[in-house]
Amino acid sequence: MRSLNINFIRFSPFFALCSVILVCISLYLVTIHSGFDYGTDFTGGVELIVNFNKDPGKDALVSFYNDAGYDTAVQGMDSDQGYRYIIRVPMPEDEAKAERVENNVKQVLHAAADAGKISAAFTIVQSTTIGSVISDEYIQSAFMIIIAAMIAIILYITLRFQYKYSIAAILAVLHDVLIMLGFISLLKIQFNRMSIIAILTIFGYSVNDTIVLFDRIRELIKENIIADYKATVNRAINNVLVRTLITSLTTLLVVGALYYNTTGVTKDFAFVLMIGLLSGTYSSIYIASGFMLFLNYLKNKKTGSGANASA
Amino acid sequence: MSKAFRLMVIVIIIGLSVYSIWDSYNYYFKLSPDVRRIVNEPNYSSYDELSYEEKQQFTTATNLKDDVVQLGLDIKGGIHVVVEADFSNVVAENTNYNTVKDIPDEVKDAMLEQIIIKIEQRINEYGLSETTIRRVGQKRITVEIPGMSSFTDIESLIEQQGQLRFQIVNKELTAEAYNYMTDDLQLTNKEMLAKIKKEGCELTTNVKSGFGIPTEQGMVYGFAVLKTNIEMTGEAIEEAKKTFDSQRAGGYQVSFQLDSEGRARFAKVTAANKGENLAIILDDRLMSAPTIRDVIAGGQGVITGNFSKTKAARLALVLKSGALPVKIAVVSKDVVNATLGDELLKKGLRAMFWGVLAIVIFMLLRYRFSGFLAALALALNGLIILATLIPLGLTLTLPGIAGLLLTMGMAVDANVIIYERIREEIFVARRYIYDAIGVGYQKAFWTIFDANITTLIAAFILANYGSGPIKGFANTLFIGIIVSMFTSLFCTRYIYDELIDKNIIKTYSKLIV
Repeated sequence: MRSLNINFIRFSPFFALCSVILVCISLYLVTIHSGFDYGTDFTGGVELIVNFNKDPGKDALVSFYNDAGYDTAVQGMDSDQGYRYIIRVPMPEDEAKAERVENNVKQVLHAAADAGKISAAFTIVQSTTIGSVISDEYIQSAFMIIIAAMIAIILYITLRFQYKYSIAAILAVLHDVLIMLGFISLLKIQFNRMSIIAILTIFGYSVNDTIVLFDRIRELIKENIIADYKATVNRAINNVLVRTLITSLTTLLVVGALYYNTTGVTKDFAFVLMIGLLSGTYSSIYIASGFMLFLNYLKNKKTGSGANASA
Repeated sequence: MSKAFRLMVIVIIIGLSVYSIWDSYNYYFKLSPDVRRIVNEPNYSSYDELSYEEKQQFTTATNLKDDVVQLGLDIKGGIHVVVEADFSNVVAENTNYNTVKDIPDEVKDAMLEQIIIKIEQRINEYGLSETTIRRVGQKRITVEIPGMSSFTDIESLIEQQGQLRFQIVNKELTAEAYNYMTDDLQLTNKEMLAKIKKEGCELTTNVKSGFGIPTEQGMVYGFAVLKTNIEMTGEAIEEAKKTFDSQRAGGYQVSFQLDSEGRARFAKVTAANKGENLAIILDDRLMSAPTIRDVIAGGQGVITGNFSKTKAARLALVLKSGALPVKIAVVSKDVVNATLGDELLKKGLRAMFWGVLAIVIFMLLRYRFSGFLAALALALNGLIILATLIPLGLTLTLPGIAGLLLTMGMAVDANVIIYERIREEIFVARRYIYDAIGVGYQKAFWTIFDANITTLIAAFILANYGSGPIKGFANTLFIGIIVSMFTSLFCTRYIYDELIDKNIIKTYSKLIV
């Protein structure tokens, strides 16, 4: 039949190198280069979504706020009703400005309109105000979520498989998360609670992919048809490849639909998910299995029984 | 499990889901949008705009609206406010407590309960109904007002503590302190400060701007020395309403009426302090201090302070509901316009439509009849997930819709794992198709189980530690995963078994997977 037999393992070292480079670039972007544009939920402050009947221009909006002494990030948004912008103002450090910050931030727009600097009529269709107590809690809970998820998944995989499988799965997941963070940083996508959802979803998704692969490796080892560990892993990858690709495809189809049909925060969310899906699919094939092969290689070296002994 | 039993389980679950969702279908698809809008309005204020037929629908709508899939405020529009209580004053006033942590939970609970009741009263009297006020944790309260987005200054109604005090002004000391006052209203002279304290008085610089105290030195602005004894509090207020300001054209003031006990007290105070000035202090700020010219026996008074019409109206409500036991502050606030929610909902549903359509086409192309079964399972997923939201009291938010969509994408995964396995058994292991189906399901079971558990763990953690959008997303994802395991492992399996028994599988084996 059409049973696949592609030699994935041959390219393992090459892809491992690629991944290491990509992860390093991501780390560089996230930590040193530009970091994140944090969303209002993490910085505190005010976020306005405003509909204009004529385009006021993004730069003009930014300048109104900068002139009034506020930091701001302005983002255009698709809309069925005129021109829509998201205006984000992080919680000002100046106490006078922080007091009744929502009114102050709205006031800047009204003042610009009164001074004739905005000729368009506008409606504020959404306003979100987040105090610093709350934003601090959001940051804490985001950390909690990521750490709790890691621990829970390590425990589960250790329980169902072996601890070395769980390390391999977590490595694969960390790889995906770092790649996503790299893209978030590079493309200046707002890092907010929706990003945390995207990360955790990919977390579950990537582990899911990895488990399907591990499951097959375990099954093949149990059947004991192939003596060579490398060949076993390669066969397992081939066996689950179609399923992995199809599942990625169906999920990409819906996430793509989300990306094309929505706007603003949800669109960003869908984009980050797409990156994660692609990375997750790739990492379950190469990162997780690569790590298992690497462990096997170390073990064989120690026992001195040659590179390709059975597992 | 016998087949009859399995069929029964499937039929019962579908039946319950349809039953649960039926009202929502009628509510959202059969009623006119205007009826839906007005039934959610405070006091049904635009009822008269409805046509005759729509009025017929109205009773149905009022009966249904609580038993349907509830949409989040991000979709239907409205105001969502989180306030936090500050218990530090309780510590300052009670020597038993050193820190906020020392305050027993019962005391905090009682105070939060009181705050909720008062906020509710204020909002209801303002003419807003359908408000949900809930306690969250040990110090927070959320207030949700659906449908409202124009009412942006909600803080003044919720946040104001509304603590009213009446104290007598010490005019001599006020005049004397005036000589030591710096330009930026600081009193640094130690002797003067000591004297104020010795006389049983206190200095206040928190004075409503533009208001002055008449003394021998002339009008004194920006500060006052008050006798510390509190003559009366706002608790005695029975009725309060906004009235025209007698001093200032176009301005408003708040007139109040005291209850019988308050009237007697007020009469006594005014009799004892004729010629003195009575300071009216609202939330630690000196609003005014009219001179007592005569005994006031009727228990009527006014609070002036350059109020606008709305400010005066809200203050009246605040005074009537009584003071909150502790200070509260708004820590987060969301105001969403219903038109935006509508637009985003439409976009979300459009995404759902195209996404699901794409999956169905793909599955049909790849798996033929089994693809059709997968599509059926997908539809069943959607039905059961939505039906489950109602009894669990979960609202459908925009992130929830994203979660639902993602679940749909991932739900076919279980089917894909099974079908690929069946194919493998047929084409590689060369099994007969009915064997292959059995073995495929059997081998796929643990893979699907393990793989889904990890996503379930992620969803569970999101639902528990997350907030707002995270919760909404995680809830549908969590339910979705469980439901998808049921539909893929249980429901489609039943159909296969039925087809095998009826020998249909063998006849059309080429079309199955």
